[in-house]
Amino acid sequence: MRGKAVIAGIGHTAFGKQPGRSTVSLNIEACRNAVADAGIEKNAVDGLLVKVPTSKVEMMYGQKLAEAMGMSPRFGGVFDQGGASNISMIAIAAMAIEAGQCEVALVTLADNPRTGSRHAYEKVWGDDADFGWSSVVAGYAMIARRYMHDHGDVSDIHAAIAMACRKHGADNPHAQLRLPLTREMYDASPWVVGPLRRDDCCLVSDGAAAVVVMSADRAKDLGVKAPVPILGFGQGNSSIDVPLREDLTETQAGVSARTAFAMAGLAPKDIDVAQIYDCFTITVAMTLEAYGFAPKGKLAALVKEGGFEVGGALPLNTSGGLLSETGMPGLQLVLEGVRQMRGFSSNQVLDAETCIVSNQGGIMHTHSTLILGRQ
Amino acid sequence: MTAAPYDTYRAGLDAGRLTFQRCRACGEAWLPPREDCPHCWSADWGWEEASGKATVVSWVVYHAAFDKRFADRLPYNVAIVELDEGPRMITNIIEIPPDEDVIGRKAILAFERDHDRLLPRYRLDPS
Repeated sequence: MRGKAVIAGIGHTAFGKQPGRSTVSLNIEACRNAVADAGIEKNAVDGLLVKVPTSKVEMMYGQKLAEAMGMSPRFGGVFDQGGASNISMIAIAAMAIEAGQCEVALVTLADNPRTGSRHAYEKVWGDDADFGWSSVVAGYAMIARRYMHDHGDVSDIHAAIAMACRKHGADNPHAQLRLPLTREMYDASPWVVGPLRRDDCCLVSDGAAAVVVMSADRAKDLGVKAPVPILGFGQGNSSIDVPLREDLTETQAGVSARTAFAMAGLAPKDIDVAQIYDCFTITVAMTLEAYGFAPKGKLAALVKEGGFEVGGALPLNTSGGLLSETGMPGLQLVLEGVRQMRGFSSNQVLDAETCIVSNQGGIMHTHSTLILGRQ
Repeated sequence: MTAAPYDTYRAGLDAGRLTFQRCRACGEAWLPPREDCPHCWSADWGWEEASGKATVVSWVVYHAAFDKRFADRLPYNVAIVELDEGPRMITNIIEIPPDEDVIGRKAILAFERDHDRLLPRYRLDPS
């Protein structure tokens, strides 16, 4: 499959607050921009895959969106793995195209928890609500506390991740939060659920992003100007709930990455730039280790080598990530991977030829990996 | 009709007893309550009473009340403990020392009445 499918176009909305806009309308704006970017007509699209919004879960959302777009796609619907859905749907689109199920697919995500409902992030956890067990951030904090117990003080690593994302976000004119973060600001940041501080936590955002997926051959036929080849993809699902995970610091992210690396015929040393799902800083630290960029508990060495900013050992989240660009759950990271491979990021990594992108969902319940290359 | 597993579990707690399920086919023990063994999928299981001895797996401290019922308790802790018999559960540690890593510490079951219910909480074992 390596290189057989491409991302032919990308599109997004403004990020931040979108009061009064439905997620259907946000999806349509992102799709309109993605199709225009690919330089194709709407009637060329015969696949439509969409992530269900966190702000409002409803049945048959994929068909609702297709109806609003005046489409009857051959292949389409919702695939739900939380934040991992985006990359998984790109992979599903690539496989569907290879299997002759459709020719050109839109993969799209819209959400509006900032002006709509944040229930998905703040809800109480079922029968354990009587203990005060609530919110997504607390699940990640449970993992972070155990990680710190096992690996010692990791505040330098968390700070380095947050500072790199915020620096890159400050350089991105589309970013929701364009305020660089100093170490002093990080250390003074208030606790939300200890051991996680406010600046360890991603933004809450309205907005949408979309990509157009097609075969490399089809892109040539249609005269697509800047197709970005998909070199590899993979996924892994821990699924087990956080309290019951035998080792709280182990996920299936490594399984996901190894599947993607095997398809691409690449290894971590071959990766020039990374877009790592940063709902919380701990997620980035654990993902980088699981991916093989550093042995477990040894990420500090990578920070010392110049860290995660452009020009460093491993530049990451070059558009600002969820911590700075937009807290939307994930597809925007793929868009930035495409910009890096096209050579037009606002934080361009010079001569970058490979980009790895991670998406994950729940509280590290799901994971999906994408490796992009240069045309 | 048999009671749903959670209702039986809750009835035990209301009587001041912490119970868990054990599979008669493979021996797996688990919480929270469920209808089938998560290891071998057998529906043939029974209830056992926990010894009340456990170990702290992780814990967090809330500085924000996502659940408004807890707004006047901030900061408060929520912990994961592993029973000596194997199952894990969400709970609170009573009187947790500040600035101390309590992961790996032994803990003893201590029921407290709260929100009109008996809740299975834990105290750190001083020994």
